Amino acid sequence: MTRSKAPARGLSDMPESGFRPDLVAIGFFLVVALVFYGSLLWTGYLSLTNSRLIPSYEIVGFDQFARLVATPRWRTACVNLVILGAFGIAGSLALGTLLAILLDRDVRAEGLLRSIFLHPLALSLVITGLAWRWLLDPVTGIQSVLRGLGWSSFHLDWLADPDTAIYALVVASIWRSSGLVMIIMLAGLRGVDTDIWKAIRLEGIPLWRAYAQIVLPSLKLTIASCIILLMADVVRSYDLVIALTKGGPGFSTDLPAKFAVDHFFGRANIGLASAASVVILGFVASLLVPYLLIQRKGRA
Amino acid sequence: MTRASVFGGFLAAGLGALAGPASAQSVDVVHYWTSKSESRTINILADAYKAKGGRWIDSAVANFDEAVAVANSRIAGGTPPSAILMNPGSTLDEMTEAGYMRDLGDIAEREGWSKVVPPFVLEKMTSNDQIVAVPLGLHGANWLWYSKKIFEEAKVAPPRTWPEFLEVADKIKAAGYVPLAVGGENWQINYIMSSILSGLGGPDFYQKLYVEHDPAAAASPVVAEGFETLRKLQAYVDEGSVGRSWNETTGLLVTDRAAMQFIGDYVKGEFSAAGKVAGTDYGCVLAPGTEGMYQVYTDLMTITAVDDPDVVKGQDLLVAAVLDPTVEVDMSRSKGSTPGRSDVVSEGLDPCARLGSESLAGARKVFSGPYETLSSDQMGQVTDLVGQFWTDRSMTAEDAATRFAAIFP
Repeated sequence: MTRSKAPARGLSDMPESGFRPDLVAIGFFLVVALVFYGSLLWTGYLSLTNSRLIPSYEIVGFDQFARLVATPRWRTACVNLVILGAFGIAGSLALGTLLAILLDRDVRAEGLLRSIFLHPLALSLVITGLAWRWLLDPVTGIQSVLRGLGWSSFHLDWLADPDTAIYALVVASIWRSSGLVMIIMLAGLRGVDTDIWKAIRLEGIPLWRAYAQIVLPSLKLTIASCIILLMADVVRSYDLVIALTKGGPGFSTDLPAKFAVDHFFGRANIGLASAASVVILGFVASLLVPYLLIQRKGRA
Repeated sequence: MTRASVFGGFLAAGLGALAGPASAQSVDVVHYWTSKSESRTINILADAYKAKGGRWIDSAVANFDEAVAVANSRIAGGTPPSAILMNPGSTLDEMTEAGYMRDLGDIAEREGWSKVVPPFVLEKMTSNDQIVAVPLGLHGANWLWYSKKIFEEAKVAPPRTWPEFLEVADKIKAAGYVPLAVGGENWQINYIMSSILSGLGGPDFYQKLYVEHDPAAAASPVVAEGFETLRKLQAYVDEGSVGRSWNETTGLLVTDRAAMQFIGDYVKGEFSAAGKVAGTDYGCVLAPGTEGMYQVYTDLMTITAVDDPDVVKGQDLLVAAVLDPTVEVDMSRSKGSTPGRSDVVSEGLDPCARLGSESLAGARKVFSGPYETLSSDQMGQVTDLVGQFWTDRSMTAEDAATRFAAIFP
C-alpha cells in the first residue's frame, strides 16, 4: 500500500525539525474536503428544501429552481452575466492586446507606461466601482463638467438608463482588466522567436498582417490563459456591482451572485438562494471547459 | 525553546485573552445602529447598563439584514449573543418558533408590563404567544416631509389626497424646484408605493392587503390605480436620483432644492444634524390620504434563549435597563422616536413627534408598517416589482398590478 509507505519515507528523508509536509497536505485536503465540498453538498441539499430564515430539511424537489426560472430579476441577472462576460472579456482582450503590441514596438518609457496601464488592477473593485459611479453620475460627473464648459447638449447618463447601465459595468471592468491582459500578452510577445520576426521582415509582410496572421495565432495558449482569468473576474464581480450601481436602476444591473447574497441574507430565503448558488456553480464549472480543452491540446 | 512550544505559548495567551476575566453580569448585544443618531442612542443604553454595574459587549453590524444573519450564524454555531436589536415580523417569529428566543413572560407578569406598555407595543413584543423582547422606541412610517421655504414660495399647502399631490407638485415644478426628492433605490420607490396604496385604499384596505395578505385586496383595482399614480410621480423627480441613498436625498430638502420626501421619522436625525428645526424649516404631514392611520415600526431588544445562568442574569439587567423610564425617554429623544412605555413624560416634543405620540395615544388607527407585516421574502418580491416598474417605463400599470397580485397567492 502506498498509503502506509508514504509517512515512513517522509520521516527518514526529513531533517530533525519534525516538519511533515505530508501532514500539512492532509490538513489542507481535509479543510478543502470539509469546508469546500461539504458546504457545496449542503447548499445543493438546501436548494431542494423549503428553507427560509432557518435551514429546513423538508425536501420539496425542484420547486425553488422553478421559482428561480420564473423570477424576472434572476433572468435579468443571467443576461447581465452574459453581457458582462462577452463584452467585458472581448473588450479587455482587444484593448490589452493592442496596448501590448504598441509597447512591444520599443516605445520610450515602456516601464512607466506599463505601470500606468497595470495600475487599475491594483485598486480594490469597490474603489473602481465608486470612481466610475462618480464619473458617470449625470449630476456630478463627466456630463456636468462638459456641460459646465459650454457643451450644453452633451449627454452621458448611462447609469440612469436601465438599458445602458450594464455597459457602465462593462466599461469599468475593461478599464480594470486591460492592464492584466497587456502584461500577459507582452510577456507572450517577448517570447516570440526572433527568427520569426527576421522571416517576416525578409518576406516584407505588413506589420498588421504579421500580428494578425502569424504572431497572435502562435500565442493561442497565452490568450486562453487571459480569457480564463477574465472569466473568473466576471463571475466574482459582485463588489464592482455593489459599488457602481447596487444592481440598479431597478434591478437592471443585477448579477447572479448579488441575487444569491440578497436572498440569503436580506430576504431570509435560504432555499431560493441555495438554488441560485447551485446554478452559479454550474456557470463556474463551465469555466473549466476551455481550461480542460487547453490541457487536452497541450497533451496531444 | 522549540518552535512548537513558542507557538503553543502564543496560542495559550491568545485563548486567555479571548476568555477574559469572567464578569458577573455582562451582555453581548448584536445591533445595527451605526449612523450618528443611532450610535448615540445605543450608547445611552450601554451607559445606563454600565451604570447598573453590568459589562456591555458591543457587536455592531452594518445593517439590519446582516445583523440578523450574524445573530443567526452565532446561534447556529452555539455562541448566541445575549440580545439582538430587531423588528417584529416573520423573521422574529421564525426564530422564536425554532426556540432561539427567551420567554420573558415571568418577568413581565412580576413587573406588570401590561400596565406600563401600551397593548399595541406589547403585541409587537410577543411572538408565538411568548414575550421575547423589550421596546426601544417606535417610528412612524407614513410621513411626508416638506420644505417650508419652497411651499411658501410656490404658495401651496401640504396635499391631503393623491390628486392634490399632483397639483401641488405641478405648482412647485413651475416655481423652479424639484417637487419630489427620491433616491432611485428600489426600497425608496417601494416606500412611496406603500404610501400611495395606503392613501388610495384607506385603513381597511391596508389591513386587508398588508396585514392579512388578502389575495382579493391584492387583485383589486386600487393596485393598478396605485401603479398609475406612481408612474405620474416620475415627472417630478430630478436627474440625479438614480442610486442615491435616502439621507443624500434628504439633503435636497435640507438645502431647499427639492420640496417633498416620503420617508420614516428617523429622517429628523438628518434635519437636526443640519441645524434645521421641525415646524420652522421643514414641515411634516401624514402621506396624502393616510390621515386616518399611523404606520409604525417598533425597535425591539430581543432576548435570546441561553443556558449559562450568568448570561441570563446579564439579560435580566439589560431588560431592566431598557425599560428604565429615563432611558426610554433619553433614547427616543436621541433617535426621534416615541417611547415604548406609555407612562413616561415626554415634554418638549416637536410638532411631528407630537402628532406621532397623539396617534399612538388613540387619535388614529395604528398599524405596523409594511416591512413588519409582510415577510421579508414577500416584501422583497414587491420591492423588486416596484423597482422594475419604476425603471421600465414600457411596463403598464395593469401588467404590474397582475404581477403584484401573484405575490399574494
